[in-house]
Amino acid sequence: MLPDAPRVLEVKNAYKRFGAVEVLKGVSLSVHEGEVVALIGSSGGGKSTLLRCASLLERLDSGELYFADRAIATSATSGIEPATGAATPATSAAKPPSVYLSKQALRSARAFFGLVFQNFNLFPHYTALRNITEPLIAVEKMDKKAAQARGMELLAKMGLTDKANAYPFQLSGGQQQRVAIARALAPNPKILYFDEPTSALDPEITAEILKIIRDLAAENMTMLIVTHEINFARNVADRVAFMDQGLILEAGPAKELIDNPTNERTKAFLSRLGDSD
Amino acid sequence: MSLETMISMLLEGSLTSLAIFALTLIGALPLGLVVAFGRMAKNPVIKGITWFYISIMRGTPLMLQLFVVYFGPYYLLGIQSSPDWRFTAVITAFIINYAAYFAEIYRGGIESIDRGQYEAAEVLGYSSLQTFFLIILPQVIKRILPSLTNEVITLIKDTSLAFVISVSEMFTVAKAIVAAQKTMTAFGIAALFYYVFNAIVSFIMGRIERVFDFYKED
Repeated sequence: MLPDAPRVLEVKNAYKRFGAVEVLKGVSLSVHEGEVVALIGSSGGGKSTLLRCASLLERLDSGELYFADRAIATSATSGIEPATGAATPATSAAKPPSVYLSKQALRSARAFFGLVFQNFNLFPHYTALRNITEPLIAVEKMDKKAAQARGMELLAKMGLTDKANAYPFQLSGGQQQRVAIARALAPNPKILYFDEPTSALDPEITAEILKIIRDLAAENMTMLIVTHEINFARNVADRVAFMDQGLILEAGPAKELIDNPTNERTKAFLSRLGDSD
Repeated sequence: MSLETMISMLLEGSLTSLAIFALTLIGALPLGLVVAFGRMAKNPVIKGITWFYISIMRGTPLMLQLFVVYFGPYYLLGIQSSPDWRFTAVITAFIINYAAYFAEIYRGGIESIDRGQYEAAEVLGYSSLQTFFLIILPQVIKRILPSLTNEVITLIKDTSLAFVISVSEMFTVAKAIVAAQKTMTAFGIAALFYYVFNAIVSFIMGRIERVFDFYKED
């Protein structure tokens, strides 16, 4: 990563609560062009929620969200488009609610990123190839020929050319996840999100997915990865952010942070992992 | 009465049965989807009304509903019904009754689809309509086909209920013949017709299920 590469994603002072549980308590994170950032931390720490907010699957209660220079959600006090945003009363009392772009604008903003789920979430009624081409045709309005060319190109990249016409149920977990990565890459997103991409996979298959992510990193794909694979984070990520109880407690260069954590809870988390290995 | 005359009379009646069957499906299959959406609506008024409608349709006999629809305009509103009203009343009663059953089948199917499917479509930029019709509905249809088959088969037999308001479908004709001829033959032939019709419908539904076998859920 270049030290002054432009911002791709920025979350500022993010708050999110589900009922009585405050899941994000003022999280700020930015990802720059060509950078790979790994989000680590114990379950329930807010990693996945942060990623879901960045994927627009959840809305922030308070805080700001930027895709490159485009403001997706701003703070009600910062002056842009007041009133229409929704926020839970509990947080809005103290913190200004997030104000999102219109539904229409948000839909088009989704082309900015791709998301790879833990459970793949392929469409079971489409073949591997159509899982990639149908969204291009339905959403990007690409013509069928061009979409198929793009689909085959990505399947080739994932080593799945011979599986183009297989349905998800005919594919192994690792193959399904590779199709899901191809599907996420198809519209040329500026950033790729991974939500625990290997948690549903056997260890030997995990390696095959991690290799693909490593290859993407080598191509300078910007990525934000929620993961439990600490060694992988250490080797592939440029930066690592450690989340616990709704806060980023520590963030920094991957090797430095994992080898020499300064925060007590980061230390405890990493040593617990060491024990279980 | 010769057997041929009997059969040709019953065949004529069977055309009316077939019309009731087809028109009910044409009306109730799409209406059921609309009702299912009402049942799943966030708006409590819409949800409440649909719930009430479904519970009445499923909680009272179809025969009684037929009477209400047929006599309702006269007794409740004082409207003198035209001779055509009989058939229209049957179709109306059948459609609103079957739509309620179909709605519950659709709802079960729609609610059984994994949330991840909606999320994957949403993240890819699908609109709500695209998500429903391109991603969700095809999977729902596959899952609900066996239940739909059951309802469709029940419908074939239910068409005979039109007899209670003297619509001359096959069963009405059969009963008239039996009463006039003092022989059960007409019932036997009608039973055979229903049975064959059911076999044909089962076969067709089975073929449709096989069309959806091109993928499996894992």
